[in-house]
Amino acid sequence: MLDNVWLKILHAQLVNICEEMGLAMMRTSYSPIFSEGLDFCCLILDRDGELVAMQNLNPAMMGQALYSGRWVIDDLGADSFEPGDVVVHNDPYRGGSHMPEHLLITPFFHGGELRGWLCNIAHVAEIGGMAPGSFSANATEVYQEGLRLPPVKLFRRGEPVQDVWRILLANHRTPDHSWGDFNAIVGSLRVGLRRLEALYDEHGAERIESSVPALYDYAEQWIRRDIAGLPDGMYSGEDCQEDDGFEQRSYWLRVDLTIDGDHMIVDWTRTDPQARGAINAPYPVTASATYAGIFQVIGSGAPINAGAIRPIDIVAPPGTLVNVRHPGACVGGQTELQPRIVDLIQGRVLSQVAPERCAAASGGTSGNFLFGGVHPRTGQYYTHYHFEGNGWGGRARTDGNDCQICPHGNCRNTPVEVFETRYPWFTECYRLNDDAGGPGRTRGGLGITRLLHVEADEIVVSALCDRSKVSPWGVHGGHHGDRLAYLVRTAGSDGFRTFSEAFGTPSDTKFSNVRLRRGDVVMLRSPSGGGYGPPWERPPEHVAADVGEGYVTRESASTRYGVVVRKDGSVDPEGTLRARTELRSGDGLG
Amino acid sequence: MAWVDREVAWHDLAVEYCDVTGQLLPRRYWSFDVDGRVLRAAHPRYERLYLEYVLPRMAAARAQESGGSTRTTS
Repeated sequence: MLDNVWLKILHAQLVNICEEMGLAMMRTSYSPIFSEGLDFCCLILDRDGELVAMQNLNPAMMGQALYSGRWVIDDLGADSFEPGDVVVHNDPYRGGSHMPEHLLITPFFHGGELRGWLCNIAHVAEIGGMAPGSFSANATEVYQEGLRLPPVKLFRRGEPVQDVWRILLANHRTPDHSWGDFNAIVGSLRVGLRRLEALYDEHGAERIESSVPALYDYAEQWIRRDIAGLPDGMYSGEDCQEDDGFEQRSYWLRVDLTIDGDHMIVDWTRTDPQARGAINAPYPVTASATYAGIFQVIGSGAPINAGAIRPIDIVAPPGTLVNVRHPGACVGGQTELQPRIVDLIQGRVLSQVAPERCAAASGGTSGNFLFGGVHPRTGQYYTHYHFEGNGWGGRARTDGNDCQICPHGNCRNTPVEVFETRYPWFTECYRLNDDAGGPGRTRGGLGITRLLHVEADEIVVSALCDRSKVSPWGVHGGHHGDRLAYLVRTAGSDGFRTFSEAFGTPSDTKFSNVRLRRGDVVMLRSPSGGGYGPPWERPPEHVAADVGEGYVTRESASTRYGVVVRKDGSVDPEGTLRARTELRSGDGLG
Repeated sequence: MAWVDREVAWHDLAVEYCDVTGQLLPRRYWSFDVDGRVLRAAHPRYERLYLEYVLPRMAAARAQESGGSTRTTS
């Protein structure tokens, strides 16, 4: 008889192994995308490749965790693995998400038998392709996005497979970093192997392996119970990407979510056909985002494993934005489509049935900004993949978070110190955008502005982001947040312009290989979250506090929230009553 | 209806999709027959999903296109 206390302890121990793997990775990797950005996720699979446990780090990789490892095992055959083998795999057309994200997987043997698998899915910052940073908005095929690796052995019985390493390193622009990063990934797997071995020694293989199916069942029952608590019906929603880097038109995501007892079907059939540009998502990305959106609303505290997803079926027809067909470009699906799917599922669809557990739209873009060149101080070639924090949407009871990576991942942006010590940029300014959060009973979180001066003869930059035309939406009467703007002021010119205006790129937000010169200045202004509920329901003292903190100006407090804040920071009650009456009548509610 | 192992040469990197969900199919797929049409699925449970959800939705979409009923809400 398995008791829930034992299951809880086992689950915590397994997750802890994943967490410790992650710490090893963070502390030994070469690239800031891992040491600062935390763009990776460690996990454990059972013998059949089912997800047992994962690090509480990156829900954006859940789909890859579910499909990619299983693909490797199926493709190569579990019998072909020996202790010390490590397979690398980054193919979006074999269960991967986008090519920078590499799955490294190693078998775990105990007592001479294969027991399971340890994996680390990590976003390698540079893998070749047509743009430094391997994030080209102008790619139209997967072949332009970097080196694609079907499952191949990187280590055989603990020894590096030199032929594979040489091919890999010869195709990356910064092979020294790739060398260090891949070894950090392998190091994290070895930490996991040691810890898992100790766990098996302590409890015995039989006890653990008879408990893992119970953990799946436990998670499944939890999710089924929560789904059953929602009203049956079909609920729909839509949102769009503004352009694909080529055509200036909207690309629509449309979803129909059916709740039928304790079962959920998420159907993306009505979504637009795949784009020519790199905004498409492979199935695992859509799955990650769909699960993440759902698990933001239900299943809080449930173990995230193969059992948790059993009650949820996802239909994503091939050839659409949410399931790109080979050889479509797809590097941006993971970073741009994914946060939009998360927001759509939780904020526009499930908010129809569980408004108290949902949020307005976040900034909805990872704000990818890539660059590379030769560092004038070291003479070394460098590249970097930077993603930017933005504002999250207001929630039922709390304001949206400020300056955080979209809710699909728990990553972090690049600190100013890293920009300045490792790359030839000078940061003139890094600040929150006042008055940018969507007004609401709870306010949208604020995006940020960063001003970066080029301090080299040349830096080649690329971007792949969104939300420069369509604002992050509010919900339940909340207003929208401010949009994104990535601008440039070229040396000798007066004002900031879009990259399209300055360099003729087809899109303001999706471009590759723009050559900046010394003295040019880039402005990264990230979007802010939408508001939740009518702004005139926000407690006046909260608005006054926002004014005091510089989040909202006094003028906006009056015109957008209907709260008159005196110069000494106190609330004028009579003025506020008048302003709010006016505001409500303006919305037809007076 | 049965599991089928795809015969894939090591140098063949073509991809196949689940006819129900759109998932990629690695080496094995679940084969089932609907009105004489053989379908491939990533898991046996998707046979039921096809019969109980996808098929009725497709029929409703066809009816909508031809001006029939549009309501599919359960």
